[in-house]
Amino acid sequence: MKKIQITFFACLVFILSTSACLKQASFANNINNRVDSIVSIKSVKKLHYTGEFEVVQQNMSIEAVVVANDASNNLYKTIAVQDSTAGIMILLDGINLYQEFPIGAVLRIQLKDLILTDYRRMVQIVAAIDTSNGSLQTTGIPSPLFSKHIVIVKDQPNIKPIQVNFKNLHDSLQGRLIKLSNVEFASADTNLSFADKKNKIGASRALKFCTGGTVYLRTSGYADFAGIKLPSGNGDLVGVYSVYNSEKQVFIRDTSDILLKNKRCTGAAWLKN
Amino acid sequence: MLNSENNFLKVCCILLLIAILEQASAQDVLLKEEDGWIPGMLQTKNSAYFQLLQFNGYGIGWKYRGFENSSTLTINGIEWNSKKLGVDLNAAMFGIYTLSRTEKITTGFVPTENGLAASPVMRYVNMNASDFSKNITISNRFQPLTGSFQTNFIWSTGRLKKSWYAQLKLQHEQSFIQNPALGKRALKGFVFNMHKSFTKHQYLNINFWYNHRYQTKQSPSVNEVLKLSENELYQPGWGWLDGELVFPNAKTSKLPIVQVQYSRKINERHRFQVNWALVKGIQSVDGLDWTSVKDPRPDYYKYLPSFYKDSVLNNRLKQFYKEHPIRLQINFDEMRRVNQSNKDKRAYYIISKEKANIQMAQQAFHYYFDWTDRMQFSFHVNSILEQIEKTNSVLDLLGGNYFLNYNTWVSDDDASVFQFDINQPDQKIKEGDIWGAHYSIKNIDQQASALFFWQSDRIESSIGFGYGLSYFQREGFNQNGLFPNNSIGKSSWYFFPSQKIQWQLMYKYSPRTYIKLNSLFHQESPNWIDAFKNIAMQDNLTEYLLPIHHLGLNLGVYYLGMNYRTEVQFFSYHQKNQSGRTSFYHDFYNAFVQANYGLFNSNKLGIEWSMESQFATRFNHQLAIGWGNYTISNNPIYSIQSLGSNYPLESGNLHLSKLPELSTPKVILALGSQGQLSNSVRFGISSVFAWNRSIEVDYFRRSFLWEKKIISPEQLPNGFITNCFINKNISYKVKDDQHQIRLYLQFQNLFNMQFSVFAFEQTRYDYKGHDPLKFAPKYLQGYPSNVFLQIIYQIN
Repeated sequence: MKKIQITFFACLVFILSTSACLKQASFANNINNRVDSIVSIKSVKKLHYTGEFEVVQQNMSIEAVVVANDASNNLYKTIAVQDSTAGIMILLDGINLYQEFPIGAVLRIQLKDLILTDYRRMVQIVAAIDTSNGSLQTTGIPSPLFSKHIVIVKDQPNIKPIQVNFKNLHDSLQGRLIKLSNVEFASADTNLSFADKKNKIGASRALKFCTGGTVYLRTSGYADFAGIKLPSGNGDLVGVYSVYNSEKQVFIRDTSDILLKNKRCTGAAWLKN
Repeated sequence: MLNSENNFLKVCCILLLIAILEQASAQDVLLKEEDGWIPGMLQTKNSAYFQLLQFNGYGIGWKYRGFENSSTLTINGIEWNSKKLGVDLNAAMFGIYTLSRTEKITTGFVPTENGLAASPVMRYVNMNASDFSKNITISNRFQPLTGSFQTNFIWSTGRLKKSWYAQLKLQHEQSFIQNPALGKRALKGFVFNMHKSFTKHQYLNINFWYNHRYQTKQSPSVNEVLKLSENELYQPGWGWLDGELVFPNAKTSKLPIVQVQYSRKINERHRFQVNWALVKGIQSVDGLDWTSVKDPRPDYYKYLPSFYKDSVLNNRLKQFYKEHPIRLQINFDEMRRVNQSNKDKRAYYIISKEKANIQMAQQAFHYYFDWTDRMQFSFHVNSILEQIEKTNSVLDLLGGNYFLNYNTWVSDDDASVFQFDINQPDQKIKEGDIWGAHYSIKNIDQQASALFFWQSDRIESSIGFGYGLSYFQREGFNQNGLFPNNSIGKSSWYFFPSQKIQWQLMYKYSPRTYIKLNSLFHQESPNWIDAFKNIAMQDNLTEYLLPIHHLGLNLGVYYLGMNYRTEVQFFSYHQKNQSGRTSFYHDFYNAFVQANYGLFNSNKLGIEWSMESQFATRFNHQLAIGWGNYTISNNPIYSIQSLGSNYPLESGNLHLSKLPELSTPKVILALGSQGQLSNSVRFGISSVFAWNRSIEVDYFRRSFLWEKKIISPEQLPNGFITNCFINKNISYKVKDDQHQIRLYLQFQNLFNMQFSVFAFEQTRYDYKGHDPLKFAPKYLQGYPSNVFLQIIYQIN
C-alpha cells in the first residue's frame, strides 16, 4: 500500500510541478526606433511650390511643438506645429486629436512618404492627394500611421507667441502662434458671433489694427465658441497665422486667446481703416 | 472498498487539491459519456444525427434545427433556462454534469414524464450521490494550444450510516497563455451532493455547487484584418500595457446554487417530487469604454487599408500592419498616455465592469398518478422569483484619475453627451465606483402543465397542456439626461400569459418498426431581456411586442434491426410574431438610432436520416445526413427612431422573405466510428461535413428604402471537421481496492481545416455609398488542429 501512496503522490507532484513550469510566453512589444536627420520647418517649406505637391522622399524629420489642435473644434483633423523657424499645418485623419497631441507637446514628425501641398496658399503636410476629379483632394495621415510618423519627444508647456504688427504679417509666419496688439473687430461686426453655429457655417470677421490694416479672424461653424458674440473692445489677440489666397487670416484656439477689454481706438490711422 | 490506510490518502488528497482543480469545458458531457461507455448496440436513445452533432457541430456553426437557443437543462426537476433567467448558466454550472449518472435528452419538443418541453432540446440531469459507489477520482487535463491545465478531484462516499450518501467534487483550471488570441480562463469550484434515503420510496437530495469562473471573450473580426494579421487565430480583443497582456473583455461568474429535492412514492399509484433552488451571487462582464477620443478597436473600419482609396496609402497601411502586427491589437499604452496627458488626468478610456447581482428562488412540484398500468397522469408546476440588479463600475482607469459619469453617443466625427445622473451632474468616478446605468429587474414566472400518457399494444400517446404567467418590473436608480422621465423609479408591472399544447402519437407497426408523430402549439410570453427598448436607459417596452406563436410538427419512422437501427425524421416549425430591437449608428442620418422590428415570421423545415450499426460487438458506426431550410417567411414591419429624441426617421417593411434566419449549415453529413481494440483500449473518430452555410443577415439595410441597393448575403465556405479520441485503461487490484488509470487523448480538428465558425453582417452599413466592404461582415475563426490529454486515476 505504501508503494501505491508514493506513486500517487509522485504523480501529483509531477503534475503540479509541470504546471508551474508553464510560464507565460514573452511577447515583446517591438516597434523600431528611427533615426532621421532633423530639419527645420522653414527648410521643408522651401521644398514646396505653391499650387504643386511634393512627395518627401528623403529620411527627414521636423521637431516642432503643437500650437493648435482640435480641442475646441475650430480645427478639424488638423494640428498646427511650429519650430523656431516656421510653422506648418499637419493633416491627420483622426478626431479628438487634442487628446493625443495636446498643445505644448513637442513632436518629431518623420516626413518620408508624406506630401507637401497647400490649400489656397496655406502650406500643409498630408499623406495622400487625389486630383482625379479636377480639384486637389487631400487625405491626412491615417490614424494607424500616427505612430510611424509622429513621436512625442517632450512637453513644452509655455509657448510664447511672436508679437507682430500688421506690416510684419508675412507668409513666413504661416502656422505660427502670433500675438496681435491694439486690435479690435470692425464696429459693423461687433454684433455678430464668431461664426454661424446654428447652420455650421464658418465666418471671417475683420480684425482691425489701431495703427492701420485688417486681418481676418477665421472661425469654423463647428467651433465650440462659434455662437459666442464677438467682443467689442480693443486689446490683444493670440492665434495661429494663416492665409486664404491673398487674405491674411488668424484663427484662435479658444476664446481665452482674445483679450479685447480696452476702449476702442480712435485717431487718424484708425480712420484710414 | 477503501481500508483505513486509504482514508489517510483521501484526506491528504483533499488538502492538496483544495485549491487546484479543473473545469470540464464543453467536452464535459463527452468525457462523462466516455468514462462509462462501452460500445453496444443502440445504446443511444437519441438519433445518431443528434449524437454526432451535439459534440462535433460547434466547429461548423451547427444549431439544432435552426433554433438559436435550442437547449434547456433540467437538474433534479428544476428547469434552468439561460434566456428566461438572464443568467449565464454555462459558467455557473461548469463541470457539474460529471456527477450525474442519469441523463436523458429529448429532441423535437417531445412531452415526457418530466413535463412539457420548453425548448427543442431538453436535457434532464439527475444529480444523486447514491448513484455512485465509494471511490476517489483524480483527473488532470491539459490542452497545449490554449495552455489550459485542469484538475478534478471527486470523492464519493458510497453508502454511509443511516443511508446517507455524499459526494464532493473540487475543480480547478488555469491557463498558461500560449497564444493570447485564445485568451485565458480560470476556474475554482466545487460541487457537493448529499443523498438521504428515508425509506425505499422516500429520499432527499441536496446539491450545492459554486464556481468562480473567469473567461475572456473571443471577438469576431472582418476578413480584411484576418488576412492582414496573417494569423489564423487572430482576435482583436486584447492588447498590451507595459509589455503585459491585457484582456479587457472578460466575463466572471460567482454564483452559488443550492438545490433540494424531496421525492416520495405515496403508494403504487401516487408519487410526487418537490424541488427548491436558491441562487445568490454575481456575474459580470468587463469591457472597454471610451469617450471623446479615437476608437481604440484595432479593427475599426477607419484604420483599415480599405478605408483609403488612394492606392499608395492603401499599400503603405498594408505594409505597416505587416511590419507591425502588434498594431492590430489594442494599444493600452497609448490609452494610458492619453488619460495622463490632460491637465487633471481625466480618464477618457476605461475598463468597465457591468455587474449583475442575482437573487433567485425556483420551485418545482411534480406529481405523478398511475391511473392504470397503461395510463398515467402527471401535473407540474414551476415557479421563478428573481431579482437582478445591474450596475457598472470602473475596473481600471488606465492611468487616469477619474472618469466623468457621462453617457456619450460617439459618432465618427461628433459626440452627444448626456448626464448619466442628472441629480449628480459631472460626477467624477474613481476606480471601483459605480457609474452609468443602475437598475434592477424583478421577474416572476409561474408555469403549470398537465400531461396524460396512454398506451396500448400498438399505440402510445401523450398530450400535455400548459399555462403560464410572467410578470416583470424595472426599477431605475438614477435619472439619466437622455430619458429623464422614464429612467428612474419603478415601472408598471408588465404581465404576459403563455399557453402550450404538445402531443405525441407513436404507432408500433412491428416490434422493430414504429412511427412517431408529435406536434406543438405554443403562445410564448416575451422574456424581460427582450421586452424593453433599452432596459439600461428607460422603462419603455419595445414596439411590436406580441406573444410569439410556435407551431411545429415532427414525424419519425424508426427501425430497430439486429445489428443496426435507422430512423428518418421530418420536421416543420413555424414561428410567428417575433420582434427585436437594436441601436446603432446610422450613416444616412448621421445619428444613433433605435431600430425595432416586429411581426417577424420564420419557417424551419427539414429532414434528417441516420443509421447506427454494430459489428463484432466491438465496433459501432454512425452515419447521418440532414437537410434543413431555416428561413424568414415574411416581410416584417420596422421603425427607426432617433435614439435621443425618439423622433421617427423611417418605418415600413423589411424585405427579408426567404432569407436565412440564422447562420447554420443547410446540409450536413456526419460519420462516426467507435471501437474497442482490446479490453483496455478504445477509440473513436467523427467527421462532419457542412454545406450551404450562410451568414447572419442584417435586417435594417434590407428595408423597402434600401433593399434594391443591397447585394445578396454571402455564403461561408463549406465546412469539414474531424475529431477523434483514444483511451487506454489500466486496472490493477491492491488488496480489496480496485485501482484504475485511464489515459485519454483527444484530437480536435484533426486535419487542421481553417474556416469560420460563424459570421454575420454588421448592423452598421454604408447607407450613402453602399460600399459592402466598408462595414464588412465579421467572422469568428474556428480552432486549428489541437489536442487534449487527460489522465484519470480512480480508486474504488
